[in-house]
Amino acid sequence: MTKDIEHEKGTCGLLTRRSMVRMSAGLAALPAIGALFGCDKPVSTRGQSGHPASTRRKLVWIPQAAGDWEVPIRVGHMEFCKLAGWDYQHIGNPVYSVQNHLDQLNDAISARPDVIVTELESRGMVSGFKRALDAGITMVVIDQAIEEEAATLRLGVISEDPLSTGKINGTQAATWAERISGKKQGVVLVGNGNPGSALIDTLQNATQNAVAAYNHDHGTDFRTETFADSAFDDIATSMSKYGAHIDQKGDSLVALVGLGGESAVAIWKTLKERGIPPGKRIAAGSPDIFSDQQTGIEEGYLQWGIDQDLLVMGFMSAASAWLKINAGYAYWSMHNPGEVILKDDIAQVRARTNEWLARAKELNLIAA
Amino acid sequence: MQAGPAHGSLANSQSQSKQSVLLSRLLATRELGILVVATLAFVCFSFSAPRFLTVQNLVGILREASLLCIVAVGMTYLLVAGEFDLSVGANYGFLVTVFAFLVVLRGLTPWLAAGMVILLGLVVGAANGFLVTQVKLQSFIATLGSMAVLRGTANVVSGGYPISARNDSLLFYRVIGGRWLGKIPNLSLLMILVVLIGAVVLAKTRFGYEVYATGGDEESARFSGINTARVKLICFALTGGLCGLIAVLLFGWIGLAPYNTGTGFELRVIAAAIIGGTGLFGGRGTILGTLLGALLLGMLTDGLILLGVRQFWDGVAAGSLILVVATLDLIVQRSALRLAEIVEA
Repeated sequence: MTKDIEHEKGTCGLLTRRSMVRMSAGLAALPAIGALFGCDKPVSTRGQSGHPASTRRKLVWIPQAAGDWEVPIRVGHMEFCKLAGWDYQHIGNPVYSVQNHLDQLNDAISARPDVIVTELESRGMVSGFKRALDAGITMVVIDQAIEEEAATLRLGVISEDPLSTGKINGTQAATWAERISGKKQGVVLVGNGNPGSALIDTLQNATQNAVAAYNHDHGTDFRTETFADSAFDDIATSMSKYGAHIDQKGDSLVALVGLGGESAVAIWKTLKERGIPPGKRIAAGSPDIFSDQQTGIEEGYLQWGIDQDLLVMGFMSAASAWLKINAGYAYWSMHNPGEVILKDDIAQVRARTNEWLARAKELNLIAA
Repeated sequence: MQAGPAHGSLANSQSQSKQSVLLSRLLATRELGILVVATLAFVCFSFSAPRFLTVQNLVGILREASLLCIVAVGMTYLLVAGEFDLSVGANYGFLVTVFAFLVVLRGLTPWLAAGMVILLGLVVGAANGFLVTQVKLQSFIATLGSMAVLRGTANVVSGGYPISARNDSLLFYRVIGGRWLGKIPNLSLLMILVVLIGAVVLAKTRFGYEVYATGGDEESARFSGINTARVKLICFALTGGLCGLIAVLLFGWIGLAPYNTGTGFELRVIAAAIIGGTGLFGGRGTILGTLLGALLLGMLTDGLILLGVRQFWDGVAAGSLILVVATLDLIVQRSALRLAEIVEA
């Protein structure tokens, strides 16, 4: 059984962590190579790297909902901007709505940066993208996108692959549900902290499909149910909701799946608070791997997480803009399939998380 | 010994009059409507949702209502005094971040940090009160502004990244997150204590009388020698201090300070007070009603989940409940008024 789970690591993807890092390193060298061959005319030599930089540009990152999840993306952006000698600005509203996101985008357009990196998570954002492109701003889609709209705008998308991540997530949920509960049937409850978001809804559907596929392959009869868990709003409310669901489902509940790190933390805290022994009765996990989730996995309340390489995603999105502006390369899409993280992997994941957390502290991005 | 016909008729009439007065007083009790609705909801959920009437579930409802109810006590004081505070959710989020910052990143003992955070909450509340009573800003504007400032400051302090406790086996976490007799969450016991003190002060003390007088008719209260500005300032400070208290309780309970803590919390707090019969325009409301309002809100969220109702109906149900309770309250009040007129006649 362990083998089945382990088997999924890095096998169903288009792009592995290692290849992304390798590509990042290659891209990181581009400014220096460009300067060496006189491809651009260095205007200033700013930036900590000491490399001569091209014209000083400004990159603005607008997350659809500012928060802890996007700190590694900011670190990735800042690393690239330092390397390229670009200015960097992070704006964003912690409360998500399409209008909030669009307002932030319109404000950023007014400031006329060279590059805007943001999500295209809703068709409501298309008008803002068009305005930005008409204004000559290089737009990079990251994290979430409606692929058809991005294609119409001739933009690539740098994000996780929600279909692949959802498949891993659902398979993990069913596998651990069977192993922990010892049952062949039961309810896999999927909590959605942001219903209506294109990526999370796709992730949810893919998770449900993966559970159905697992049923087909293993002769089980796990049934998925979804609900809005409020985890992106308030953890105490979310915990109450998970608690009520645990009461409602009783023994039929075999797995709790949170479609986001906040949801996973709410699940972990609820299981602990309810006195359900770690790794007994109910399996739990999510398609993220925040620091607190890592603790939940270490303690045994959560069984799996999925790393989406947000640090590299941030770096690559900025590098992609550099390639477009300085070398005229067309946009391309990169979809990270996600990497399963189990208890045995936590030490390694913790180490690399601590690396970017330390960097985030150095850059004054976070206090913790 | 038998009474004569005339004497008997007088006695009957007196008895009817007493009953009418009693009924009139009962109907005038603001908690009656909410009590009826809460009882009906409790009975309905008990029969229709199989796991509703279990100790664990009822304790869950109590705990869910606890943090909400503690701040709703302060909000009731404010509403009775004719003001309200939209910044309670942001203040709660800000204070939990500050608490985590002090404990985790500055190494303060949780007990000392708790005192400091509650004090900071009082100061933030008093600042709101100052803006309203001295600068003469409307409480809507003043607290809307402070809501944005506090939410932003919390993100500046934390960088938008949650701060987790490093050692949640300390006595502090065991006390806050623990249960009395292994059943009742300690934070719910604290809520009961806050409710009791709040109820007694509001109903039985001179200060409580001044709060009602200030909200009932501010000008008359001022002419009667009540320092209405001071009363309002204290109510704002109290609400802020209670935000500090629940920030401490949240961190002690879950050992985590999520950056988004308290999003939308202000509306639930105001809803609990309004459902509990507190008037939006001052002079009316009780802590008991607020407690019932908070419990009803918690019971509704929980009960709907247990019934398997789709989550999006949660908001619809809470909103409808406010409308039903407000309408019921109006009907009860009108009936009480009519009955009082009949008794007087």
